[in-house]
Amino acid sequence: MKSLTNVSVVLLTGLATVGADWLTDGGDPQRNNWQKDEKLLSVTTAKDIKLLWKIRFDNETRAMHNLLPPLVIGSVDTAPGPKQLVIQAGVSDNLYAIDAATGKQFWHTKFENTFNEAAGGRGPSVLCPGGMTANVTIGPGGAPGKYTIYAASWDGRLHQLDAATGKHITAPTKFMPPNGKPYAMNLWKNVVYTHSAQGCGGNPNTAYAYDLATNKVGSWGPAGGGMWGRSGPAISAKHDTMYTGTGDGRWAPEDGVYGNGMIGVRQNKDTKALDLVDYYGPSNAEWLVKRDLDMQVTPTIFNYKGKEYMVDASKECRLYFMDTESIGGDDHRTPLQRTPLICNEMVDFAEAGIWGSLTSWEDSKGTRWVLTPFWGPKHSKYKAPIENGVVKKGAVAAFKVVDGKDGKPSLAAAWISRDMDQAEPPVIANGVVFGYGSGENTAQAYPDVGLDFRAERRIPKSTHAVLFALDAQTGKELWNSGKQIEKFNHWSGIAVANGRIYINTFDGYVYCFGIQQ
Amino acid sequence: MIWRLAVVGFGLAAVLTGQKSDSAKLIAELEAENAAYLRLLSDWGKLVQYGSENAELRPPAPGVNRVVFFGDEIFEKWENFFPGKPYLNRGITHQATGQMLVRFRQDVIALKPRVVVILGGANDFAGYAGPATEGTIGENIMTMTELAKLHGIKVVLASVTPICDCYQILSARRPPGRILGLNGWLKGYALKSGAVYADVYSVLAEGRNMKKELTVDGLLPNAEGYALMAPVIEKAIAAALRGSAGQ
Repeated sequence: MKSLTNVSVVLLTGLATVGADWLTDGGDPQRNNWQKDEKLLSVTTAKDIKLLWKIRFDNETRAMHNLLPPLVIGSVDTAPGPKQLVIQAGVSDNLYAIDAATGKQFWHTKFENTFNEAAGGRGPSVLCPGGMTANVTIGPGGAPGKYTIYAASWDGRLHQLDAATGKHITAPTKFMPPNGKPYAMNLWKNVVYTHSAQGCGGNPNTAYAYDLATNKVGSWGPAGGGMWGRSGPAISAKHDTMYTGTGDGRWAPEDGVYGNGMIGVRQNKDTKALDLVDYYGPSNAEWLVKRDLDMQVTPTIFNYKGKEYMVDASKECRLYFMDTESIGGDDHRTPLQRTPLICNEMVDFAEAGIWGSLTSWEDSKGTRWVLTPFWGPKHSKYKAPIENGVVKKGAVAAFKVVDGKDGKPSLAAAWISRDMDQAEPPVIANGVVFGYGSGENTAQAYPDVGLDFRAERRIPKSTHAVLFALDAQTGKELWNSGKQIEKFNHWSGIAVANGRIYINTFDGYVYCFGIQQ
Repeated sequence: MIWRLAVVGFGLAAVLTGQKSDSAKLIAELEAENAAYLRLLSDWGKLVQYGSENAELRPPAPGVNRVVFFGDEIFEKWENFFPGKPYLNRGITHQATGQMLVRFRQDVIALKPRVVVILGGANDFAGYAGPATEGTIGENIMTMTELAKLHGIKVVLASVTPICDCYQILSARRPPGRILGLNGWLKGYALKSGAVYADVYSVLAEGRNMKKELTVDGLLPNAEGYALMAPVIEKAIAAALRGSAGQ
């Protein structure tokens, strides 16, 4: 994600380096959660991380949702001059830009809403909050220092904004039905991808692709399970294919139903339609759907020794290692590897398992790593060579990609972090893993009241997020934010760029931690 | 449950009286106990133990006589379990017959076996799932048998295995007389219901007790004990497949 303009910015102005971007959920279209250009944060400097600033926005909460994961543009040409901007989307159709240097709001845009919610409806709920649920994604503008922000508002329209001003570059255009709960968008080769879940607004769960050159939209639905990988789809650079897990549905490809599995869809270059090109169903998919153990994690895609691989996960709490040439093999049910269960011994559909997205990076020795967050206690039978204490509420588990005797790569357990209260997807930067426990109460069922996932019950039981810095080789804790973050967050994430880590909370705050320059 | 509440109360009192050195250990024990209750409450039948594995099984090929061994730790701990045979072990340690009944569809019917071998009742006597009598055990066994028959599955009812006090006192919670009484009922019910009775008790017992040389702890058979049980059950399975009941 090297910003091409940064070199010139540094040369012309003598500003401290601002060489890194974080332009999309997961950091790149392959959703690696890897900040490759970090220079300031390191295993050595992590102990010096401080709270640099925080800012509160007036974005209205909807159920447990408020701010989506922050994004960062290393250097944007603005009227006052080049600026590093933090782009912060809010669920209530708000988009904010923060001047990273000062922590002050730089611009604010609120999208006009053309969707009229039916009177007497149920209103926002945790599963269907309404509002802008898909995180925005950012692409290059027409010139160096120019960037375009792509946003999908509650009414289903696609907005293209100038990152320097927050103003529309073109008029909003129809993208998908309103109120459909799309997930974080992904930009690849001039096409914006997303997918939806939970059947919100009565809309079928669908994968969408918006072709920016023609304004044509392609769509494809798995006829069942919603696609709710929080960081949206991951894109294979090799196959130009969008991959996502599916949840909440039967796995019956013979009937055209692809719930609780994985699908790969690709844009047809002629018609711009989305076509199913590959799929995978775990061999115990029947169990997964029966126990609500969705394949609901955004996959990560990476290269290893010249081949492209993908790893995904599920609430069942294991990783699936796949070759993007054929993710499920000839029978669509045989990946390269399924790891043992890492957690969720109690088969809990709400408070345990793997949620969100994954992380992958390559260290200086050429070792490829895959990291997963997980909720709940570690599985009693799962062992890692390095464990950093008892895990009760969640942790990060790290794996190395290793070659087997048969020459096939596989994932080998490496370490497990300390306990984190509902561990969320980590970001790797310069040898440091930044993870966090959201502090969110994720319970959805209770012995005394039965099923109850209302925000009114969960918010008072939530605590506060804690950010951690871990040594990426061992998982050893280097630093944590203690009680500096005052509230929890739900369905958000972190961004890392230029010596800073950004995290937001349910009460509308964006926190910036980092190394004081 | 009352005694457990008393333990919890005593524990909290100990914490409050300032016995700090023991309090962390006690809290850990209470948390573990609480977690165990939560597990039991959220999954009474322990459907999670074999649920995923079951989902991966395809139906048996034509001509294959799949057999499910359905019971408690006597089956679960069976090492070297019939290698090469199309037999599935679905035993769960500490499980009582009421819990077995809850998972009968998932762990037996759904697997489409020709025969189910049911062995249970000892943990009912031991109170792992609350108070139980020969009457409550019998009703659970009858329901399982009827369900199996409804789905065309032949039933083998295995006797409860004997215990001995040779390593620890087990007879207080599993009185040998009650085991004998239940086995007598099982034999009679097998005859009446068209099931096959597999008397594994007799090959393990000397008088009313498990032979010490056949057990690892007074409850579980050792390898030699299991080796004696195997032909008895094999014979019963063969009889069930032939359709000759009431052995």
